[in-house]
Amino acid sequence: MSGLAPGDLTVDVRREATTTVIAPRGELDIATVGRMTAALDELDPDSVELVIDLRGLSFMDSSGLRGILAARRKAEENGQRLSIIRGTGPVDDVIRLTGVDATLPLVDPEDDRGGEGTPIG
Amino acid sequence: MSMSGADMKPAGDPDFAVTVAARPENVATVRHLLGALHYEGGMPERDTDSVRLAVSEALTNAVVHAYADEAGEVTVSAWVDNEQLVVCVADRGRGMTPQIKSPGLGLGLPVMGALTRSLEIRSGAGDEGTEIWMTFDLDEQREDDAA
Repeated sequence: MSGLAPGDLTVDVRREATTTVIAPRGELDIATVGRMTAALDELDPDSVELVIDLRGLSFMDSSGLRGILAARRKAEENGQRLSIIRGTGPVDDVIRLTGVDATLPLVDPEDDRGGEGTPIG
Repeated sequence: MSMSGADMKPAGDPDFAVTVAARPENVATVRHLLGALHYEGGMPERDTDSVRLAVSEALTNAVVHAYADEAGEVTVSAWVDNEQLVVCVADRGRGMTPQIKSPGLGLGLPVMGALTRSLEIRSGAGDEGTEIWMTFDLDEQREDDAA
């Protein structure tokens, strides 16, 4: 992750039409998951769709996964449609090994969409 | 039956040993230090990812559960034994207690179990604290790679 120290995390949030995209970059664990949940707290509830883009993460463990599960709760509270763009390597591993992949609306990177036909990024 | 890492203590000093304060910011520090180790014959990147993830889960367990609101330390030791990497994450805290509202660690145990060749969680020396013993195969011919 260029520009980030090991263990660090930034969370980019952008609004595209009726979609809000949250893109964490770096490492999502017990030390950084608070930045993810803080970003969720500032979401615009008027967005129709929430997209979590995990492609910028180089690491995530089960503590970091709590941030993703918090996003799911937030989307449910706001009545928003949720899409989660899969990450790679250990980021995808922890989702698969915990079994939550069966309960999350995961999309492969090549299928990302960010709303009804709205391209992301 | 495979041996537990606890049965494979090194005759001398471990290859890697570090003690840090049991604080969230130190979890990444230790997993990067341990992940940077290069053992004889090399460790495939895929296996290094597994070690980082499992150690992160074990360290997080110590950070969250070992000391409640008090300060404390956690020690991570690692060495190679018979083509396996042995890792021990040990704290001197209050030991294993049931946690009804565990912040994520209910997911951590199955992750560690899936990534390791063996996993053992037991009380530390003198019945004090918790030790998490993990072993990892260093053989590059993992089943998933061979498929």
